[in-house]
Amino acid sequence: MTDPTSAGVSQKSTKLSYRSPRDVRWCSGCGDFYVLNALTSTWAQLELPKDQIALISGIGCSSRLPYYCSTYGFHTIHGRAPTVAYGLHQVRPELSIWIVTGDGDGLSIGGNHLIHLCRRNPNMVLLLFNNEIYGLTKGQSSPTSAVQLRTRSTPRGTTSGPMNALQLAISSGASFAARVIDTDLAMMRQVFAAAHAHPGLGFVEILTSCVVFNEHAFTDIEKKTWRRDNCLLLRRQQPLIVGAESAQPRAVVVHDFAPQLKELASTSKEQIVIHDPARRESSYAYMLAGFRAPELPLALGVLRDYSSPQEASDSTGREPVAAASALQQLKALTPLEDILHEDSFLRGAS
Amino acid sequence: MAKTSITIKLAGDSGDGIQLSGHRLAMIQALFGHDVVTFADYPAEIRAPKGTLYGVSAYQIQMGAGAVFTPGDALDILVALSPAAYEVWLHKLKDGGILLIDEDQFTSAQRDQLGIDAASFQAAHQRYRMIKLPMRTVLERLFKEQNLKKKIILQSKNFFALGVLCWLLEKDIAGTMAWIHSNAKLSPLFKRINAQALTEGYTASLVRELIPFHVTVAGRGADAQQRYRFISGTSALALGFIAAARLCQRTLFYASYPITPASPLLHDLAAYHEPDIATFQAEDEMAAIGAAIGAAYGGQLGVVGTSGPGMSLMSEFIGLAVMAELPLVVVDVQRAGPSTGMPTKTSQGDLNLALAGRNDSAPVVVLAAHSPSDGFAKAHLAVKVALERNCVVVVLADAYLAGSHEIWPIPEPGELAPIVMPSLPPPDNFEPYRPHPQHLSVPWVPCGTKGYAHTRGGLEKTPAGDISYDGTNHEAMILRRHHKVLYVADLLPPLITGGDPEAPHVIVSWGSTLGAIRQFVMAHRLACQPHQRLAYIHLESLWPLQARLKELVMGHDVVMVLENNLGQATAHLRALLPDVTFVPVLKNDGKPWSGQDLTDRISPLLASAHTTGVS
Repeated sequence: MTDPTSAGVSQKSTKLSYRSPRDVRWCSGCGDFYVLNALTSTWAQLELPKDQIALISGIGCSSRLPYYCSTYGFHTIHGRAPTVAYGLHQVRPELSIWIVTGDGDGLSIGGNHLIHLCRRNPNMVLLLFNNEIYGLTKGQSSPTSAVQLRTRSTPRGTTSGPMNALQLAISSGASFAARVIDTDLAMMRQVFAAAHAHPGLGFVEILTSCVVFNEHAFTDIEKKTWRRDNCLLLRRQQPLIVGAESAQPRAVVVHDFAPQLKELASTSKEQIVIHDPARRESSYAYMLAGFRAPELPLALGVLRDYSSPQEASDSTGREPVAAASALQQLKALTPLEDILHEDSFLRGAS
Repeated sequence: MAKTSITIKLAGDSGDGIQLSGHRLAMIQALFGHDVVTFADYPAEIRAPKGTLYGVSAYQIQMGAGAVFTPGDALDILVALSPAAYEVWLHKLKDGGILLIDEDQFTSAQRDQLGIDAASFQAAHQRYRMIKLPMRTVLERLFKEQNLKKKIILQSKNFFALGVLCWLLEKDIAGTMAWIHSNAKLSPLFKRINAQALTEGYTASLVRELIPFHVTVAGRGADAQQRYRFISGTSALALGFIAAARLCQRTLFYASYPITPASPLLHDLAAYHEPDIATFQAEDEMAAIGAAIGAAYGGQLGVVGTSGPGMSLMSEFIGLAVMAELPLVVVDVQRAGPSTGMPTKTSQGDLNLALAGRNDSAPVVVLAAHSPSDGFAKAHLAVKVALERNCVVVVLADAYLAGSHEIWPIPEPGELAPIVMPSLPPPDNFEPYRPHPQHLSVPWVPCGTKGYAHTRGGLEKTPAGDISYDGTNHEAMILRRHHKVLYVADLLPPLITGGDPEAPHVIVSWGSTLGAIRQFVMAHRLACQPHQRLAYIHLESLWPLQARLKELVMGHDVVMVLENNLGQATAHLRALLPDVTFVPVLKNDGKPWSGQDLTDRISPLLASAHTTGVS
């Protein structure tokens, strides 16, 4: 195993070099294992130096991830990882910052911070592990739990419907939005790399399976063949077609502002929507994010990846702050004496 | 008439420009060499309805030849630009004091509306030296040729009143005139009408006829060496943080969410265009402190400022900073009341919150500024402690200090104590929670430092940084974090003491009460009997305590604790020094302690101590 720190960036870095020697304490079969695997192999593929990576997490099962990595990590408090990550980014914009959050952490207790992070759109990645349940607190319903899901806190079933993480992110200003499923390692690696490359917030919703408290949430989607035939697997500049290799391929068309699924055989090519995540207008990605079975196929992959040099910069309008010592060498600072003496006077001189 | 010190209050409806003209008047006095302390007293509403008692805005100034420690108490001069201002503040004017009113506002209808009957108004003529200036009439005549709207004309009334005061106090208006013309915030129209109104107030024959005398305060000689600034508590804090950041060569990252009375600190810092001063207006107080912690994690100086309600919201994050062991400075500009309370009024009610307002034992250092300009020293000390000992420091200020200005001798940067962080241990086998052998702090490793990658967080850890639920390790860590903060005592200045060290009575105090205590003890010393003599001991740090407190209080028979709350420091000191009998001297009226308050509350205690032999 090569240590990317001591050996510099090496082509021999492997995903294992980004793992800490600590035991992983997730339940056997938890979807988080797949994500940890995909994440470390993405870093290895990108050859990121491990001490330039900062994992900032909140509270919950997924937020334990930093402990299992050999990078810098900060396990903060419930819902508020985006705030710490933003402060870190403001003073250290050169670091590769990855927020790790969940559906309870990011969308419930930390919902406000998530909205404002999307609005500010700083250059970092946010991984939202969505298992549609509270795991670490032992099985309560979450903001993404399916309606009527029976949980320990809703024994007669939840009454309010789930919120859509990607629609929230897109409408709050996220310029990159993607959705992946935990069992699709190849797509996760592609999407994580694209989120990292995006000059702004790379917002990624990862559907993860909680085998203890919400075992059946994604049973179908996790199966490769079912997914191939029933999900909308997004590819840039390709037509939105579901189940191209199945007996009954279908295509997405938009009629009167409403998306519809039609049999491919009876649809003219011109009618089929071509996937372009780089559209400036966010309503297309917002529409895709809302697709849900059985009416419309769940969209997986990169829904939105829009960037312009102007809009990728932080909306605070402030240039990223560099270390003071480096700046003093450039003599860009007003001397402290001058700052202290602004509006100063001699007494009795008037 | 020449005096050693005088107290002036300008009062009017909100929107009358009271704060601006008051501040200019104080600046004029400062430039002429007087010692000046001011206090802004304004309603929480931005433009409270005209003519209402609750909408009165006021600015009080005490100026003197010698040291002045408070904005003063009973008034020598009251300028009431509206009948409501007259009604609210007349009771503070000394008998024979000067009462300057805008006669045009005192129509019988307006007096009736406020219940000022003719008899009492007439009585005021006897009791005070009343100067009735028809200000609106004068201004309308002055601007008659210029075809201006009445509303515009009346907006120059505060500068007219300022001109009148300059005549009364025998101060030249040239400096203020220059200030008006150089003020980028004033439009050309307002520059012109304010300048004209100021000149009219200073020179009009009517004014000189109605005020054929001057009130003068002896000045002091020019000091060619020392330069000064006229500074508020929040500006002093801002400068202290900037100076400290420069000393340790870190970027100052100040995060805040708008809240009265802490917002001026954000405004002050946001106004700097320096690459090493960054401000962040967060979506709420939790985000503000989270971002400051993130900046500290990135190796820069993270500071967050708020007031009580925001401090309540930050509780969990302060606990995280304690557990993750990152340096952080939290400023709490205290205001009165639980919940929203009285946002513009002062209090010292957040001491318990600062000391202990977190789950389980999460010790932090708690410092308190004792005057507006002391904000500079406290900000510097807070940064020094936080960075050198890698801990959380809370700086308590309050609405009084934030809204009060005083003259501050600007220090030379070379006079400031250096800030020297311990060097990092070697990276081989680095253990993030291995304490320093002397002062028990753990290393501050900026995220991204090569060779030190590790995970921090709120879970209990072993010295090696592994999560641990082991009871023995937890107990050791709880005690280490406690002792780490206690060891900060060796960075603290000695206690401030004053008065007669042999006195039977001593006042123990903290925070913004020091000025009033100094003024009171100075005056009291001249008049009192030997058995009534007083000393004072003032705490600059509430946790840990500064050295020698017990030894010093034991030298006195009666130990009073004076504070602006229900006895929070009293209870704190009782728990720490159970052998000492602490007598609380308290108030909770949303106002700073005045000399009169001290006389009213302390004098009976001095008398009873003598007769009953309390010891």
